[in-house]
Amino acid sequence: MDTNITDIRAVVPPLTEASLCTWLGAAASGDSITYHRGALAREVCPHLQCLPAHERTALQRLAARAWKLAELDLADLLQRRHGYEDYSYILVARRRPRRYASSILPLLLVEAA
Amino acid sequence: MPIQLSLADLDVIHPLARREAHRLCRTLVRPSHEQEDMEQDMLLDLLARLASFDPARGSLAAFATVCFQHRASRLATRLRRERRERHEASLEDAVPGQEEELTLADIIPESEGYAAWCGQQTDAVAALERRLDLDRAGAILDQRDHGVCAALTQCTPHELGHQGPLPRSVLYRRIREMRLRLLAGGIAAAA
Repeated sequence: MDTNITDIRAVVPPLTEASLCTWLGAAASGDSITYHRGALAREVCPHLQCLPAHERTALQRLAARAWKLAELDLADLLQRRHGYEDYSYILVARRRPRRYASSILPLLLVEAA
Repeated sequence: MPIQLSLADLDVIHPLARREAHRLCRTLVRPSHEQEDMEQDMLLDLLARLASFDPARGSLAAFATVCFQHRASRLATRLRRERRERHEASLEDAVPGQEEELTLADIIPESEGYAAWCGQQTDAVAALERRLDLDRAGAILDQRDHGVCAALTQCTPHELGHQGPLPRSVLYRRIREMRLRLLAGGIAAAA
């Protein structure tokens, strides 16, 4: 009998900040996800009104979150051009450090002192 | 009409209760610090039954002695039953039906030991994983959020918002940011 194994890294659209972070938390090094397709700069611009306000806000947040994840060195951001103003915005999971420097221990020592 | 006990009556009753508690303690081989509890128990029982005391039928000392003996008998039954339920055994007792000579201490896992009953961490692997998770979370979170995390172990976000110094909106924004960062770091919410 075949057994379906649920892919814990599968993301159900529409992608949100939380689902993007959840995906990244479970992603292996090199895994990628396309978090948007289109022309991001145009679509998030409030003056052009390419999208309804709530969708634009959600997209702004998603893009800002992807940027923050890249700033935290957890992911790399890439773009793939398909045509005029048609890009895939891709987030690639980075390799995690094999060992984190203990950040809790100094706090505990300070508190104990 | 309720009977009032005088100090002279108490002088008579207390030694009786102490003697009966001492006897019970010795009979059941209980630790000596339990004697005082037993004595209090007996005195309390006597106070509850004092309304039935009839001075025409006998002295207060005789009435108290009978009450104490009955109470001691019931206490002994209860304590024996509790002892039986507890399956007291020595860790050095041999386990029957084993090819090797094993004692109870050899077969009881650490996770079912006394430390585990008291809520202490006994699983070394779980402790290590927790430590690694903490290190990972600490590295992902912003340094300034460590204080907020420590405060949140003591009170709810609502209480923390009231206490300050962070404004409520800033506090909730930072909590949201922390949750997202932890998710990105592979640490999902517990619930």
